[in-house]
Amino acid sequence: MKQKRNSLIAIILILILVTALGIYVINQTSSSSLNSKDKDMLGRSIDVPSEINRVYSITYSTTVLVYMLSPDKLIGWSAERSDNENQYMAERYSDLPVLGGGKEDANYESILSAKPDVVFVGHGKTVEDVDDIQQKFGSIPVVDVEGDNNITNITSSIRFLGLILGEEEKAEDLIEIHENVTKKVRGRVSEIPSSEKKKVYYARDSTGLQSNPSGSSHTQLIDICGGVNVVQVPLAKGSSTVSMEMILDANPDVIIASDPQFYQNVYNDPVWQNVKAVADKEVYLVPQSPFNWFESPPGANTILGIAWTAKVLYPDKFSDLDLKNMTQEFYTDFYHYNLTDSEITDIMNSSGLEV
Amino acid sequence: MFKSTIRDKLSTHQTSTLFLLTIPLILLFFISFLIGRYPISPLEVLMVIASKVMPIKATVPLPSDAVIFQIRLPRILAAMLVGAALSIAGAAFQGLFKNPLVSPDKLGVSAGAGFAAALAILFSFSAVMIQVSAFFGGLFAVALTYFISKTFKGTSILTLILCGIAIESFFGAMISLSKYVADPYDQLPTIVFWLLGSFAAVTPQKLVMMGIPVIFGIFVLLLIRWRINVLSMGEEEARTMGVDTRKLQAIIIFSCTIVTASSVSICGIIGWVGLVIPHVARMIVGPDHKILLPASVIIGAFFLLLIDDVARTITTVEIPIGILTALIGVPFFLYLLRKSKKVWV
Repeated sequence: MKQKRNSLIAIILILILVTALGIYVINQTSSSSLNSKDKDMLGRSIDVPSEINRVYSITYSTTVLVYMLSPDKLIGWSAERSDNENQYMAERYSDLPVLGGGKEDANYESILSAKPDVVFVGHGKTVEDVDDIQQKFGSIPVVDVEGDNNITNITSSIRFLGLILGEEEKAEDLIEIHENVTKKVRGRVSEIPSSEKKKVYYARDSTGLQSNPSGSSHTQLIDICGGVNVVQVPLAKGSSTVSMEMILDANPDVIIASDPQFYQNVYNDPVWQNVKAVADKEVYLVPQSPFNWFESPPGANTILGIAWTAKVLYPDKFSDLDLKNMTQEFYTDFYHYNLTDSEITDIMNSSGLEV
Repeated sequence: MFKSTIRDKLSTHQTSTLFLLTIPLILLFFISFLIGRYPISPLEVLMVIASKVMPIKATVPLPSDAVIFQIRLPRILAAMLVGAALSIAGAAFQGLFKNPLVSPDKLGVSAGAGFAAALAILFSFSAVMIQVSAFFGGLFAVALTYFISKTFKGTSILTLILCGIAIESFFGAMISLSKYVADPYDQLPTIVFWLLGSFAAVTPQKLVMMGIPVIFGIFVLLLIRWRINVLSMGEEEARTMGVDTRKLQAIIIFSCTIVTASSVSICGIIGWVGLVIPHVARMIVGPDHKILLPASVIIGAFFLLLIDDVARTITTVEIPIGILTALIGVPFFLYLLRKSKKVWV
């Protein structure tokens, strides 16, 4: 009886969440259709200089996009970068100062003294929020970008950023790559009957017991690539802690790990041996350099991750997809780093993928 | 040192009270095996456990065994151990400081451990290293408190507490700083969750590593429990009775710090238990430390085990223990407070 009532409450909550998310997404699409230099993606009037040379973004997913389209204009990072992440990044970029991100944590005076021509702020902000931020920056235009953390609806934010940065062509290239890989992957996985879909668990942090359910911006790749996310908890900001018993009960076919330590320990931990994915050696580590391929931050850096995740989940269906080649081109064009053959093999192998 | 064994003896009445308190704990211990997110029928649980002690073959699916012995058993033991440890440390501290508002983390142990753990998470140390650094961080903070208070002239127990409050705030600020610089996607949730306490990541190895110092500390406190009675009468009186109060204070502080630091390092910071369970125990058995300390052990173990059973079954997401101890514990405590007629300090 109690069980029933609880599940009823859960269903209602999920319905409310889904509806809210739906309304949010629809609103995003309608407001992001305007792509002019006079208005940002929330429809605020902006006055950006015709020539922009110094750019800062207080939201990491937008920072990554700026780096991809126009790295030399970037004047700093909105989040700390580890040595590991800097492995495939030229020093002139990795040495840029960290000036903080987010509405609360950004160091406004440091950013101001770095003299940006324009400051970007990313996803999920309200006009009031952005206006507040604008006040702090005085005469420097603050430009809102929406959808930068939503890989299923990222096109307009890439196009808008290209327009502002004067890199329209590069933006279109990126959009084309994104659309091609998404179309290919979605098309093929749609043919998989639901009974044959892989059950996937996304393991965060060194214990592997932090995760996100389907519908979260952190696990969009599982959904796109036709996996069934086994985590069934309410959507939350950040991540949720799940119990080992739940994972054993769900018994996923594949585990995608974000933490190298967890990835190394999982094959030795006696409890995890009882999970099908571990017994079958189907645990994969997300490549992290220069940006995480899977979700951290959710955004344009996960475009390569779509191909990677597709190969991880359904290697047979995507045997013709040349991930090595695609990676090499993507790194050259958008990460401004020429990967050697041994580096590319290393990226693949250390993620557990044999190519 | 421990020659007072004759005076330590409990009266028959006290012994039977302790025995009565143990019964619900034993019952809850067995019930805790039967509940959890992974569906195993109670019969299967009994079969699996029986197959370990008797020569029968259990025909249950493979993970059941792991769920019971690698997940539930360590969690149950950890919850009991930590509940017992925090409660006995709280009771001992309240006796030592003659103050009912003192909890075992008053000398900075939790804040020190918390900061060391947050730092270890920031540096992406392994789970074991996080635990180890939390343990030593806790010891370090208390040592700092102790030695700073020693530098004051006319050291009193009050100076010690004041230094403890200062050190606690200092490490509290350092924890906030480490949260501020943490990676919001991965490290921050881990730090926050760790600070609120959880048994989700307890493994047999962690349990053994930190269980030994906990049991050692509890054992020492139980051995000297009669002397805490003497202390709570006042230092002067204690000295006239031939008790070396300085030495005794040091032993109590050391034991409490060891058990609290180990507890924090297994499961994060769990507030409230160490403050209030001693009061609950006092309402039931009275203020005599001879029986108060063992009663705190039993009641503390029962309480935290109950809380963890709720934490791991009530929702699909693990709820931090520190939140539940307050949510369930506060109404329970207020109820007891209303019911109780005993004078208890």
